[in-house]
Amino acid sequence: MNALVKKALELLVGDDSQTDLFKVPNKSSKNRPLKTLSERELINLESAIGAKIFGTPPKGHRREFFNLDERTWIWYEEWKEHGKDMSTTIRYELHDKGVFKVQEGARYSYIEGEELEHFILAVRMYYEQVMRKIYRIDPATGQKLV
Amino acid sequence: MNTLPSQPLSSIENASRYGGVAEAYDGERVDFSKKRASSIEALTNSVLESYGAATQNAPESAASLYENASLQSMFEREPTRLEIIISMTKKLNLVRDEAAIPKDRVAEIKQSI
Repeated sequence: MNALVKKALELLVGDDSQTDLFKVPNKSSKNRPLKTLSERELINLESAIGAKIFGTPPKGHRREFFNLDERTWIWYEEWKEHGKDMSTTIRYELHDKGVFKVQEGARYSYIEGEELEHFILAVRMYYEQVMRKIYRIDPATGQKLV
Repeated sequence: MNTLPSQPLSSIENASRYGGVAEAYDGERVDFSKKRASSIEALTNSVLESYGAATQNAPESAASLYENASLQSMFEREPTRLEIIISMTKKLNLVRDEAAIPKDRVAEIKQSI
């Protein structure tokens, strides 16, 4: 990538991982036994839950909603329009003073109002369902479910 | 037995004001310049001591007061919704990092989703 473009992206978006921003990471650095799920596989499973939190997507749409790391949540949706592949990706960053929304095209803002309400609700539902269904942990107590 | 002042009181007062030497009413010579200096010094020391104590303690007190107030408010108030989802997200990442889910559980998990 051109150094200038990269620098501009860093300035606008805040880090240099813009190009990899919206891909599910292949975090294979952690040593996991081969017979257990990798972090990427876990996130894919989580995303299957996340996609359903917002109800059934419109026909022909595919949706992903997942947590990437301690501060980042990703919304991704793709569809076809007049035979053309369309997609939109939104990165939500958790900051101490709010939820920062970063969209393609260097559009960014703190979310508020209805969008903030929906986001908070979605994170809570995601957390509760993922902890129960995937990790078998009681989301309220943090104890293992029998 | 007390004797009457050898000098009028006004002289003594005058001397005490302007640092002169005057004879006290009992005949003892009193150097008001020293007395005043001594009392000013004592006063100054006293003020400095108080000020020192105040300046030494004040920031600490203010800081600890502020800290206590912050801690108090933190413990007293409900966490905000933002704090809750930040905490949930951290917890989720910890759980994910430590998860050792066998691959043969995928089908079962997918079914439950």
